[in-house]
Amino acid sequence: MTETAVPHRDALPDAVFRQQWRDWIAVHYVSALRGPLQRLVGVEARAWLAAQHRDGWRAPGLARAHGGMGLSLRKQWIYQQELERFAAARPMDMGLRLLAPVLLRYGSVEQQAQLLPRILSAEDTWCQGYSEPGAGSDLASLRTAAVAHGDGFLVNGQKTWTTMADDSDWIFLLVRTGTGGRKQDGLSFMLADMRSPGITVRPIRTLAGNTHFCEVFFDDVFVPRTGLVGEPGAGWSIGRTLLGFERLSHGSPEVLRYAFDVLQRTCASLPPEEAMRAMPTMERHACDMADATALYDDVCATAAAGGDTAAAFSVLKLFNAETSQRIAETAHELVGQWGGVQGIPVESGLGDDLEWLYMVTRPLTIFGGTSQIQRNLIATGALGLPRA
Amino acid sequence: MSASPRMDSRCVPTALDMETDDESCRMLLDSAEDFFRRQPPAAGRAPSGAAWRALADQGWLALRLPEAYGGSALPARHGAIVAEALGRALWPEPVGSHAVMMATLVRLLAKPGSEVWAGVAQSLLDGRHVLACTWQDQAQQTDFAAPACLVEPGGAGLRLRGRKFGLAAAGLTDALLVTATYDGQTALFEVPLGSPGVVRRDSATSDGGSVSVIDFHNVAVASPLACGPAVGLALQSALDEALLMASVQLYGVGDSALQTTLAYLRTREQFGQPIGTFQALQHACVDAAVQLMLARAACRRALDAHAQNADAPATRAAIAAAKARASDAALVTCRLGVQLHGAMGYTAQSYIGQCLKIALRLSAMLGSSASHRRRFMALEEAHD
Repeated sequence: MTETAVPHRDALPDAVFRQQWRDWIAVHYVSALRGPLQRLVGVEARAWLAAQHRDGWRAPGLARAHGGMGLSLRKQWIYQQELERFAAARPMDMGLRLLAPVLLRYGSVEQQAQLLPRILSAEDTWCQGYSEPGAGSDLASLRTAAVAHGDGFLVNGQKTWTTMADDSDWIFLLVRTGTGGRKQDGLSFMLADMRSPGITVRPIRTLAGNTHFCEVFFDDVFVPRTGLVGEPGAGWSIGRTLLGFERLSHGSPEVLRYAFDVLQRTCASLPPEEAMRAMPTMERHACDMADATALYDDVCATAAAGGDTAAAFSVLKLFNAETSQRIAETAHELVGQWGGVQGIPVESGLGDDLEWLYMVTRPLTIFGGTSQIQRNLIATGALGLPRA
Repeated sequence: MSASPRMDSRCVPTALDMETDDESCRMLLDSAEDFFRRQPPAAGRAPSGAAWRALADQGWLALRLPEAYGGSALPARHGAIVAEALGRALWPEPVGSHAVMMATLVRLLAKPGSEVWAGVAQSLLDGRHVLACTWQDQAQQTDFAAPACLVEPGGAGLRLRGRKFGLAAAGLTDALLVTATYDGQTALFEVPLGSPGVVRRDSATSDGGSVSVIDFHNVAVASPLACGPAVGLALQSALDEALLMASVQLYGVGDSALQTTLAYLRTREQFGQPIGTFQALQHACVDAAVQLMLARAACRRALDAHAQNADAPATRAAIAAAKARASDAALVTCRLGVQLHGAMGYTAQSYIGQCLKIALRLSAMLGSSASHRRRFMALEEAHD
């Protein structure tokens, strides 16, 4: 992909850019899946990303030199707003969202040249192998080990909570290559082909009924030396790289907005006297959503102007996740004996599967740093409280 | 006032204001912080005439007054800078009803050449003849409605009868601007608080001030300062701006309480370590900080909306949301602050305790968080 091949959309006026992207989405999004809690997977996900790539709408935050759109933060914000407005289901797209920034910063020229184009074209999809049965919030204590073997490494161990491992071509993972010193220091960042002999994937069923959550077992899996990113032992800092709007998008209140829409539909289905009783709670959640949106807009504008917003995004992730759960809980309480029922029984008059909403919002406070870990980080970061 | 070492937690001006606004925001902020730094602690004192005149001398009561009346004619954002500083300094002076509303009424209703209006404006310039707006015909009223108080011809002139609620700092107040129905229209009358037939009952409030119910028993009044539909519109506009300033002031109280508490947790040692290392305390502080960040964003959104169109339903909804969030955020933070200061926090002279006393009254004044959430949703549906 050369720089001239991608249209230079960053130069467009905001309104024109927004309209073009909005129109493009409306024509090209074909899946029936909608909403921020829906995942686009498999063939559908690849087709959606490949179409974006074909028409120059892929990778908004990636520099044009690397085949991305090279958008300013402000344009990336608009890009994201339109996806949320349309409620397009999100592909995991971990190759672009998480691996590409790592390759750009730490990868060799060969790794970049070989892997980035295939990520952009959606020929390769990637999954992330970080968590292990014994290493969740305390990720640095992970034990999957890579030892030197011929012109590469032999990897043994187990990863878990690996989303989309059953639908991925490659995995990027943190492995232990050294012992002694701080536990963070012995980790390395590696890339493995999921078709390698010795890799076994076992899907795990979640409370929400999804099965794209997996365990991945490594038994003497050979990873060539070219699969090592950066220096051995540098994995801890490499694995924490995020780029541009990816970090900002973590603060978006789109799930909150979706959950509130469900709550409003639920309330509308209630007998009037029940709906009246629910009003104070509805009003509380309406203000939660409005204020979270105000804070999100505030920090996006600050970020676009070059300000420091790291703490605000942690705060938003925390608040949005917990409030989305509370809204799901409220909806469950409102429907009385229809609570805990899966699907949407015709007689209920409901518009949404509230059991699914209740369950699918559970991991919001677990993934990407639990709410407890977020609080630790905010306390010792933004609030300047002393570490234990 | 202890500032956070890590980030600027002030509501206004923001980093963005610095780019778009002139230097006047920064200068006002500096002079406000400098002024309050030089004042004795306000903790627990009643609203005072000396303090009121000091605010007038700074020009802060007349920030929003038109230039034709000697005011600065600055935008509401500048008023917010002073409101936040007042909050941080825990001053109990009733700026909302006695200055913010008054300046709006002058701006929207004053007739050129009117001596009475010139007098109203003058009271904001020198702080000597203190006026307050009383408009609530019911204790829980949050929006303007056709006044229940009546003015009718009687004796030699006009007579006012009825009852008003919610007058703050009566002890500081010389005269009232009272809304009343006159000849079938809403009108505004000036009534000296000492007029025959004015009977008031004061209740002390947690901020060191008072709130009064006032009965008007056939009180003789002069002809109205203004009359007609414009009075109701101006009153609502004045009320919305007072609510907006109260929201920012509450944010100031709450953020100051948080910074004070954090500073205490960093230094206070028990069990051989700063108590700020304890996770249970850290997490409680984060929860308060989250609410304050939301309050700050809600206040900024309301200020932006107000700057674009002060009377649009969307603006009024944003102000309602700001008052609701700022009230709850300030209260939750101040309660936590008292708790984390231990027995020290429960003493009457503690700064953190006074934060709670101020926040409690400000949060209830002009409507609780629950009532403003109700208004928010109703106003949102009105403009969708």
